[in-house]
Order: sequence, then C-alpha cells, then structure tokens
Amino acid sequence: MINQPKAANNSTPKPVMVMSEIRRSFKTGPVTTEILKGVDLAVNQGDLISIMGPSGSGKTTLMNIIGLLDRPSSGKYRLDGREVSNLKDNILSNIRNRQIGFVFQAFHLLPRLTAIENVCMPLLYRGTRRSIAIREAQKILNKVGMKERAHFRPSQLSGGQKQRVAIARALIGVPSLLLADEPTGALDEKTAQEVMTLLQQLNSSQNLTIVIITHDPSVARQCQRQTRIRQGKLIEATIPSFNSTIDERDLESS
Amino acid sequence: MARIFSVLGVNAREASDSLRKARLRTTLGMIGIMVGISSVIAMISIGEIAQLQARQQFESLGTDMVIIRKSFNSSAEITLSDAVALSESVSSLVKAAPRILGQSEFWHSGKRVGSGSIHGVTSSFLAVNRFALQEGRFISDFDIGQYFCVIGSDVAEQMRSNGTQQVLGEIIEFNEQLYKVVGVMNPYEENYSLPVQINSNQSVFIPITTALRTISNPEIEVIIARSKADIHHEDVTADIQAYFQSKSLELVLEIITAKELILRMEAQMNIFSLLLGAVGSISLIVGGIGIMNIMIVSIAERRKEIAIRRALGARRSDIQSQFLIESIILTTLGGIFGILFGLVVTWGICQFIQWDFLISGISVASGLGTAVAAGLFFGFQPAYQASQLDPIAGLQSE
Ligand SMILES: Nc1ncnc2c1ncn2[C@@H]1O[C@H](COP(=O)(O)OP(=O)(O)OP(=O)(O)O)[C@@H](O)[C@H]1O
Ligand SMILES: [Mg+2]
Repeated sequence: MINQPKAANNSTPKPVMVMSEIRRSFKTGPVTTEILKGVDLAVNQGDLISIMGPSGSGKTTLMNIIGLLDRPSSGKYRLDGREVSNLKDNILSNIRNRQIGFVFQAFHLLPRLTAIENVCMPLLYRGTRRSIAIREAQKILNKVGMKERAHFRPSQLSGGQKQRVAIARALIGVPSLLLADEPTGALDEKTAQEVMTLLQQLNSSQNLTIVIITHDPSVARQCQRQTRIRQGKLIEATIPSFNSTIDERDLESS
Repeated sequence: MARIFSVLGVNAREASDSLRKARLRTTLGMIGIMVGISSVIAMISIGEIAQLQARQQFESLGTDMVIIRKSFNSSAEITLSDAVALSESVSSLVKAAPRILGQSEFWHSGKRVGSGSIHGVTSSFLAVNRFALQEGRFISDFDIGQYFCVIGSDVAEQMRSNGTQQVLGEIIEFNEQLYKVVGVMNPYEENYSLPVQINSNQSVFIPITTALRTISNPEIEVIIARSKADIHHEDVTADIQAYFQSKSLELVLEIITAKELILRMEAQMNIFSLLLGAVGSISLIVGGIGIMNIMIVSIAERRKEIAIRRALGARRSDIQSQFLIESIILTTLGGIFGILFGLVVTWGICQFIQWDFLISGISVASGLGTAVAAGLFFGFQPAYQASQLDPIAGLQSE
C-alpha cells in the first residue's frame, strides 16, 4: 500500500485547482491592507505541495480562499474545472463537504464527540445514514492507525492521535483536495514526522492531492512541490519535478 | 430535511452537554417556561373541569329550573293563590311549587328525633325538585289544612333507631302541633350550587295551607318552578314578572333561572382563566427571554464548534436548525415539567374546592404546543445569528 509508484505522474496531469490573480485585502477601520496581491497557483491531482512564508504573510488567508471559507477580493478560481469564486453560500458549503478536506494546526475536533463521531460528521452533513457513516469512519480510522481508539474523546487522545483523527475526518468524504494548515505545528518532532509520513503515504498510495502550509523546512522538504508567499505573491521554489530540494538558506530566512 | 435528521442524534448529545455545563442558567430559563406552561395547563384544565362540574350539577338539577323570590325591598308579598295559579297562568312554565319555611325540633314519643326545617308545600313540590319517596305518599292537594307530614330520611332513621319499626302512621310533634307521618323521603344528596338549599334529610314537609296557620309570620319565601324546554330564559323571567305585575304593582321579585346561573358561573370562570392566562403569558415571556439569553450565551461559547461544522460542510441552515432544535428541546423540557406541575396545581385546586379532578387532554396538548412554539419563537433570533457567524473568525477563536 505504501510507496507505490504514482500512476498520475506518468500520464498527463489532471488539474484539481487553478487560481489566477487572486487578491485579498482586509479593511480595518479606514485602512485597507492587501495581503494577497495576485496569487497564481495550479495544483494537479496527486500533487503534494507545501506553502511556506513568514508569519502574517497570508498563508492561512490563502488556504481559507482555496478551501472556500473565504472569497477573494478579486481573481479567478477553478476547482475541479468549475469556477467557484461567485457561487452561493449553500453551494460553497456543499463543495467544502464533498471536495475539500481540512486539517488544522489545533486539530479542531468537536470536544464532546468521540473520535469516530467526529470522523462521521462530513458524511452526516451529506445526509448519509448514521450506521453507514459509522462503518465508513471505522474503516478510515483503521487506515490512519486509530483502530483501537475510535471511541475515545479528543481529551483522551495525544496530539498526534488527535491529528490522525482529524486527517481521517478530512478523508472520509473522499475529497479532491486535502488542505493542511500547519498540521505538525502543535506536535513534537517525532510525532510531527509520523503525521508527515502518514500524509506522504496517503499521497503516494491513493494519489491524494495535498496542500500543506508549514513553517517547518523539514516538512516542506518532504513535499514534491515547494512554494513560498513573498510580498503577497506565491513563488514556486522548485520546478515541479519529483525529489527536488529547496534552498536551505531561503528557508532559514523565513 | 434528511440532512438535519442525520446529524440530529449527535447534535442532541452535544446540546445537552453544553446545557448541562451551564446548569444554573439552564434551570432558570426552564423555570420561567415551566411556570408559564403550568399556568396554561391549570387555566385550561380548571376551565374544563368547572364547566363539566357545572354541567353535571345542572343536569341533575335540570337546566329548566326557575327560582322566584320576593326581593328584600318589596313591600308586598306573594299570595298563596297567585303562587298556586302561577303554572297555569304563565304558559312558559310547566310546574311551580311555592314554599313556606319554618324551623323546629321534631319529637316522637317524648324523644327528640331531629331538628331542622318545616317546609309548607303543595303536591307539586316533589316533582319540581325531583325528590323521591322511600315509603308512603307525599303531601296531596286534598290535604288542605290537615296535620299530615312527610319526614326526611334522617328523621325516619332516628325514629327507627329509637325502636319504631313502622314510622308511617306515627304521630310526631313539632311547632307545638301533632302531625301524622304519611310518607318518608328518600335520602337526598345536597347540592350547594343551588340558590335554594333544601336539606330534605333533616326536614319535615306539611301542607302549605297548614303551614299558613301554624308557622309564625308565614310568607311564601320561594317558588321553585320548571320552564318549558324550548323557551329562552329571559322570556321565562319576563313572563313571570308580567304575571305578578298584573296581580300587584308593589311586589318586587327576584327571578333566577338555572341557565342564567350557568352563564354567571362561566363568566366567573372566564375571569379566573384570564388571570391565569395573564400570569402564564408574563412568565412565558420572561422564561422565553431567559431561553433566548441562554441560547445567545451558548452560541457565543460555541463559535468555534460552529466554525468547524461550517468547514466540514454544514450549511447556514444546518446551523440554524441545530440551535433551533436546541432551544425547542429546552422549552419542551420546561414544558413537560410545566405540564406535570400544572396538573399538580389543578389537582390541588380541585381538592380544595371539592371538584372531581381530570386530566384535560386539550390542556396537555396546548401546553406542549405552547412550549414548542416558545422554543421556535425565542430561539429563532439566536439561531439565525449563529448561522451568520463568520467561520474564519470562529476557527481562530479560543
Ligand atoms: N479578517 C481579517 N481582518 C483583518 N486582517 C486580517 C484578517 N484576516 C487576516 N488578516 C491579516 O492578514 C495577514 C495575514 O494573516 P494570515 O493568518 O493569513 O497569516 P499567516 O501567514 O497564516 O500567518 P501565521 O504563520 O502566523 O499563521 C495578517 O496580518 C492578519 O492580521
Ligand atoms: Mg496561519
């Protein structure tokens, strides 16, 4: 299951999302600050891509736009071939539910629900029967190595375990795009690497498309594509090719 | 809708957990709703029980009953001949029974066998009051001036326990006269809602003509009559007034019909219901605002949860229904306690005024309905606000 050669890499890449000229500005009182000043990004199916950048550079802002939690001030955004920048809120909810999986630094599990109930949520919002959703959730939990702790509450889990549950929740709906905002940011080095390995495995074995926002150069280094946000623009730090590395000095300056 | 039901089970537990965490706030809000709903329950139940009670009483009494009395400010009196001719002269009446009232102790063979009212009556008195005899006969129209009497069941019982097996034909003494017992009345259950109290059990009945002679200051104190079924009670009253006016202009009467009594009783009940209704509405509003407050605080505390759900694909409407359902659960819980409490209060009131208690289905249904409606009404605004929260801000909140 792990480290299988990726089929998509050998054939023509299928675009999952294409953004061009994305701008986002915020108004605080009389001052308007533009955070994203024309971001271009194309992600193909099976990509594992990292976004780095100094704090406050707009990484989360960009992820919110990619994840359809936020709308750009201007620019074009196609997800799975569909222009999504002007859709109604209900439709955006539906797309988030079916095409996007979120993983957050702070896990964001619902504290009163058990692990398996948390994982079920996206399916329940689709109207899937509870019994079916539970069965699916158990399968996914097994896959992320959380078989034994399906009925634990988040407070009874370690950080790494919480993040595995959160990844399972992001995966249950079979999304086109997994968005992870500093998924290892709250974890120690060893656990962080375990979570990163899990994401890599999912990427290579299931051809899952993953965008990882990170501050950690070692995390970024494990991604096939590496990008940075600088002055409101996204810069590709590597040519999109396999096993390329990022300039270490560039990372340390962030 | 199917989407809502899918998440409902999970959401309900989350809702109950969050409400339990804020126990004091939840309890206070629910108490308001509870008082409101219990007032609604008590109001409707008491109204229904009162009506049933009145109906039962008047059914045994007859809704055709008419009571005619001389008014306290009347300078003239009802004459015996006018009273006797009443039912024949007034076409809206079927029967009429005048009465002269006295008081005495009753003696038999030198022993006291009771004390109570002496009723000077005509033969129609038995039928008009729907009394029945245990043995013998009642006063007849041929007993004019005779010293015959019909005795109440308690008096007869006392005579029997004194050793007299056969009370008919015995002579008893009251009001310094001797009377021959010609009949014994059936025991009679008293009815306090009547405007005339006739405790036949501790009474004796004698011919009205005899009473005119033997009772000091005799006067026709009341005429109990029965009207025809299909005539409006106001017409009956008018007919009787007209009849007595034609006899004497000085005579002022007070006429009460059973129908009028029912109406009066209902009017009283309405005032009572209105009072309970006012208490109910005020506490419902207070409770509702409490619920609204609980919801607003609860939503503020759960901004992050809402944002997470939105990120996972919950629509605004999903969030709105989640919190609406939560507030409905709250008010319905308050409502259920309110219904129980309201029934206890109703039971207490019934004990106190000696009415038969019953659980009014309508009251329970409307209590529950009101609770759900309060949840919808007072939960709407907070739930709407929850649905409009910005998920990005929510995800960043602690
Ligand atoms: N709703 C908002 N209103 C005003 N300013 C905002 C809003 N959201 C973000 N910003 C600003 O946009 C800038 C970028 O924020 P963002 O959270 O995207 O940074 P980031 O790159 O994710 O940083 P970090 O690495 O610390 O997570 C910050 O200066 C922030 O203050
Ligand atoms: Mg960020």
